[in-house]
Amino acid sequence: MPKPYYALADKRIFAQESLLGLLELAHSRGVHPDKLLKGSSLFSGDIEDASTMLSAQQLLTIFKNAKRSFGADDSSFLLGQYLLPGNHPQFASAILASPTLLDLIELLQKFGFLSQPLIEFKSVYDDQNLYLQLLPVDIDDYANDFLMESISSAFFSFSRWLGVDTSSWSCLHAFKEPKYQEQFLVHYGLRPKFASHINAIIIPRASLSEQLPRGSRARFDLACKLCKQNLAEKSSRSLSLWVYQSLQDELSQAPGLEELAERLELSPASFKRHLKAEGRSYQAILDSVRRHMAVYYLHTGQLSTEQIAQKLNYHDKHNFKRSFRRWTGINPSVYLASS
Amino acid sequence: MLQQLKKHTNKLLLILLLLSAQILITLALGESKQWQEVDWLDIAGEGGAVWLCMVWLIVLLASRPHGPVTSLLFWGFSCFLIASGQDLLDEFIRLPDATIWSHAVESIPMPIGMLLMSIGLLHWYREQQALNEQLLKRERGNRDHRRLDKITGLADAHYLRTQLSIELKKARAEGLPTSILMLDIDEFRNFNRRLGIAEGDRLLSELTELILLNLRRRDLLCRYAGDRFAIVMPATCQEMAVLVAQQLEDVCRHFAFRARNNDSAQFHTVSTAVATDGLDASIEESYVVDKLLERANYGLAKAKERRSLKVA
Repeated sequence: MPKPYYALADKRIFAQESLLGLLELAHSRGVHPDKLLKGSSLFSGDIEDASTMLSAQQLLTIFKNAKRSFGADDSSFLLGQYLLPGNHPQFASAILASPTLLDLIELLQKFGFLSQPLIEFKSVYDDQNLYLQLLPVDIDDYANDFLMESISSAFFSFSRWLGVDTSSWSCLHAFKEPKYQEQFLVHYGLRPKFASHINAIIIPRASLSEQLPRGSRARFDLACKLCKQNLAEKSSRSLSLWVYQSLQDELSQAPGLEELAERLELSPASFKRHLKAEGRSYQAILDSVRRHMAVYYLHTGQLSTEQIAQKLNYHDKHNFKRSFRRWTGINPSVYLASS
Repeated sequence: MLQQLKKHTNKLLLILLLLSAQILITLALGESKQWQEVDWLDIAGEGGAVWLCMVWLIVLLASRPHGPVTSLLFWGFSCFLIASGQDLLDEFIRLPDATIWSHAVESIPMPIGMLLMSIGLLHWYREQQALNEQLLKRERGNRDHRRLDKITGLADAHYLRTQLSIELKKARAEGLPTSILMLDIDEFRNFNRRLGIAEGDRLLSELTELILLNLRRRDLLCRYAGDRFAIVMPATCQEMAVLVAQQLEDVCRHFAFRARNNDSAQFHTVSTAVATDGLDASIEESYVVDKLLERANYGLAKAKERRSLKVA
């Protein structure tokens, strides 16, 4: 059986495909490519070779460099114009043919990895809305702001380009409000809520099923089939994401560290070591899952603090409140009031 | 030159005050030398240095508006002036050996002054690079190079906010309306998609020139974000602002942009919206800027909507 996960250090991303946008932006803004690649143990010469592969870790580093080396406030948003439909041929033709927004989102969830290897798209529904969560492969919501800005603006502008009316959407960002808030208004078409401790786009259900003028069911299905063949031998989740998913699936009876190690046929010690190599720990990921779910429940506004505590497998609401304060620095009620 | 110096009255008074304090303290601590003890050659040399420092200081203030670079250079020169001034004073006044005053004033400000000057010059250099195409309608009497956009050479939204709040305060005191005009290029994202970001950047900077040509002398043009421009229009009523907006729309529509590697002209329409501060006293002063910008942005969203309906 193939491993159900990959390591962040595994080289499995085509460098040219994933860096095209960044390098083009660097070129047009007069930034030397080596400045972007600093610390990733790659040089601009390596990229010229079409077979060069990158690890997710390297790509994350490059995105973090981008924030510093471009300087201009609009860079992440401009990069967004290159990210979707992206440079993976089958994925691009599928997403361009999406018959509805719902199809597009399901495509991103299933095969988004092919075009956006650094982000897992996850969706949670409540009565009125879909919460499309953008989760980075290293489960760090706060440090990847450049990546988040570019992916979110890609999603907004691509959806609009396909003919979706995004005026009733909203957006949550985990990080604090940057100085260039006007950029968001112009590029997203709305003002996101910052310091929300999750990165997500909230889409009203009504938007999901509208027919898109450029869509075609037949072309979409065909391209999806091709994407599937492409994905066949690859596992699509980083180890951190695999752990995240396993914990989220069974949150009320969250499996312990030993049990997860056993499922992966690893010893607990080497399981811990692998996680540590990705900069994460079992407890940190469990905290992230709980924080995201807590934030989501608070936004839907249907459960009391007590019920949320129960859902997240807390003994009582005081324990939950204490944890929530530890994650976010504020009480759940304060968070609710500010949203 | 006098006009320019008037803006810096505070700084000039401050340095005069410091110098007189320095002379008084030195006089109080020491005693005057006899005429035969005075070395005239030293006085000529050191006096010349002090005199030159003063000339530099005045030239600096006369040639520059307020701003961080001016302050840094000013304080750097001031430190030089104080250090060399103490040198000169020592020629006339003998201080008892025990006082560290003279020694400290002579040697401490010098390195600080050099440091401030160096930082100031570094910033000045960067500022000059950024300001090559500086125009009146881009800065309106204040200069802060850290707030300049690299593509268009215009000031950014942060600068817009500060200028707008200054302008509104002044205008409200005089009972004059202030308008803000927002302008956004239609389908700019598609243009970027088709021709690339480098061409998009070039379109932005060329449109900047075009808009600047069509503004009145008192208007201030800023790059709000992305392809959105904001224009502060002091002492302008709603009707006048709408008229200017209409003129800008016309001018932009007829502007033939030539992309590289592509001889055919690219034409663009722009959408505009206007918001005027109606001197509504019920709006608290600190909110006026936000309210005004919010109204203009909302108007722009509506204008875009109308345009896309028209096209469809």
